[in-house]
Amino acid sequence: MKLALTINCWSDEDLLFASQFGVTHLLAEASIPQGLQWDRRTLASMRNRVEKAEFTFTGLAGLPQPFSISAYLQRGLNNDPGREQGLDALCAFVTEAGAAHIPLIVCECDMPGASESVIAPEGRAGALIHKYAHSTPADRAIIAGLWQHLTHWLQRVVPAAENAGVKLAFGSRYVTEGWLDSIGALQNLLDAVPCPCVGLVFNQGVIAQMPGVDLPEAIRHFGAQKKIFLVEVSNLRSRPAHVVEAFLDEMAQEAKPDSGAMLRVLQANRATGYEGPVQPVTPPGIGGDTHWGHKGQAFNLGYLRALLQVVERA
Amino acid sequence: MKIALHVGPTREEAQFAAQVGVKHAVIGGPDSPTGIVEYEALTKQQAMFAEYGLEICAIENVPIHFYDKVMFGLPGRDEQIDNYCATIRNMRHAGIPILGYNWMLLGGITTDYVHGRGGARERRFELPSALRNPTASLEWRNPRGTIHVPDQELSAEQVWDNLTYFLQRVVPVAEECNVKLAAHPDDAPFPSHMGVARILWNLDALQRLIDTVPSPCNALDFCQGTISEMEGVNVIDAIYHFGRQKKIVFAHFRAVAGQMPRFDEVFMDEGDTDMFAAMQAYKDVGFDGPMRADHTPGVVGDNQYAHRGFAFEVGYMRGLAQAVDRFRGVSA
Repeated sequence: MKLALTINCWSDEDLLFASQFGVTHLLAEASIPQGLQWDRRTLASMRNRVEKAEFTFTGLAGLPQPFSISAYLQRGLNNDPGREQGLDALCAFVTEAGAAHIPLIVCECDMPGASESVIAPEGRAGALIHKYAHSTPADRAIIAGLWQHLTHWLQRVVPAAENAGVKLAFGSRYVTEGWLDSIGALQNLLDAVPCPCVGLVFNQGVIAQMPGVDLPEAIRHFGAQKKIFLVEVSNLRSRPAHVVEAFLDEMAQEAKPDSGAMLRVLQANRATGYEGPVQPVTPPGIGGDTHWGHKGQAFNLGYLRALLQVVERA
Repeated sequence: MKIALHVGPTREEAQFAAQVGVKHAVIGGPDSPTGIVEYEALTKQQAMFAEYGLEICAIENVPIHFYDKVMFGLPGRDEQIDNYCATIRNMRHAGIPILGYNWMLLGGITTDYVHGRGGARERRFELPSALRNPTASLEWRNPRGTIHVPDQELSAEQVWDNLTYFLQRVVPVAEECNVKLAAHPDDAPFPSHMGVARILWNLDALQRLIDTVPSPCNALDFCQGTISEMEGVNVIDAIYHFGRQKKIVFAHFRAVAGQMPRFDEVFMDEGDTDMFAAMQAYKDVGFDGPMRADHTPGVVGDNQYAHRGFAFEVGYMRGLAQAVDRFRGVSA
């Protein structure tokens, strides 16, 4: 498995940062400098910068803002007639991405407006953490509508991705009750438009929040289908009112998941033959750090690097 | 074991250590005109650290001018030894159990800084270069220019005599105060520089130090980096050798590529040592003292405290320690 990170690829400092801490695979934040367009030239330039710095370019860490799936789903719920044009533009973007040899795009499909987060100094020793309010279960009719719109999205976009040779890795940042909140729901997403270019971002912290989930079993389930395109590690904890972030090593202090959960996740991935990128997600904010969180990312990378070495040597 | 960091006296440093999960701080002995680490200075720092949940677990090195006459065997050494003992008594009162020290008369030796992974700034030592440019290899220690060029030669036996003189007088006081003395090996580990012997440069010498004044309080600051720099040494075996004697009371976790006569300090994950096996070895011998992230390569955009570099190192150590515990079936 390969140590990966999402950075702003236009930043020389962040390219150096990733290289110095042993990252070999990069994902690019879905942002471009002012004045550039999301076309093949810009995308190729992005990839070239990453490859010239001697990284493997894993792909785009998200869809550019105009193409957000959550926004599309919201437009669907609003019965916005302009959404088909949005899909046309997205398909054109995916075609451009293929022409620029972008191998993968992460597609977050959180339920629109389901969870709001606040940042509070409530992490270890006052570290800044995101707190996600627990969602209220959505109306069944709304969930059914969301599935209908997501399926339509897939029917439109997946063929374009397949033609362009671009993989789409689906995931979410948090679990919303009723929406993509189980292994079965993720499988439904994969099965909606079956295609080798459709897979998952397996964020172990998010998936651990799903009720009753067994992480190694879930990995075996999706790994056997070769549907895990990217592994992310995070440490989310469910509290009475919120789901909160924590540093990766703090898992050891929790009764569940137990101290070996992250290691077991990596071992399970390796056992399925997964050899792809593994990246930490945004860490809690350390005092005096940059907005992006270089100190926190360095901590996460050190922690993850150690676990990857342990897994690889076993 | 206790994963530790060298923490300076500012709140920014204390908060950083606490946020990366460190609970045990190693400090440098505060300077004072008396030549003694004063009790009040320790308790003041303890009180500030306590606000961040940090405990001072060791003092590592008092200012060199607190005991330079002892190392060189110069007049005035008895007064310095008395002061050193007063420091130990102050540590007892403050409840600080470990005093790290080194016996490098000319200090640590580095010959160059080179670009490592991703251009990170890494320390290099090359023996031919140290011998060719002896003063240059000291210069890095003090960019303001006041390096200590010796005005006399000292043989290994003279330096051993000076160390023995020190230990015979200080170890009984350490025992009385239940403060453990932890000797750091000579970095870089080679036998002589500018005519002044360096004596703690191989495993036999470390054993000799322990045996010179046998006591539970006469022990080692096991600098894994320095020991892995020693030519032909298997550092994992060395952990077992000294750990089984309960002579590792303090450890520095560090990785090195190469051995004498040339080595580079690298990130923890890219050195020659199997760091998982090393961590396992410390646990196997029951080491329960502080283990601190030692040096870090210099990385882009870092602050004066090298917090990015140390964040990576502490994260790496924590990951390894938890993985070892997992394999041993212990709750981390």
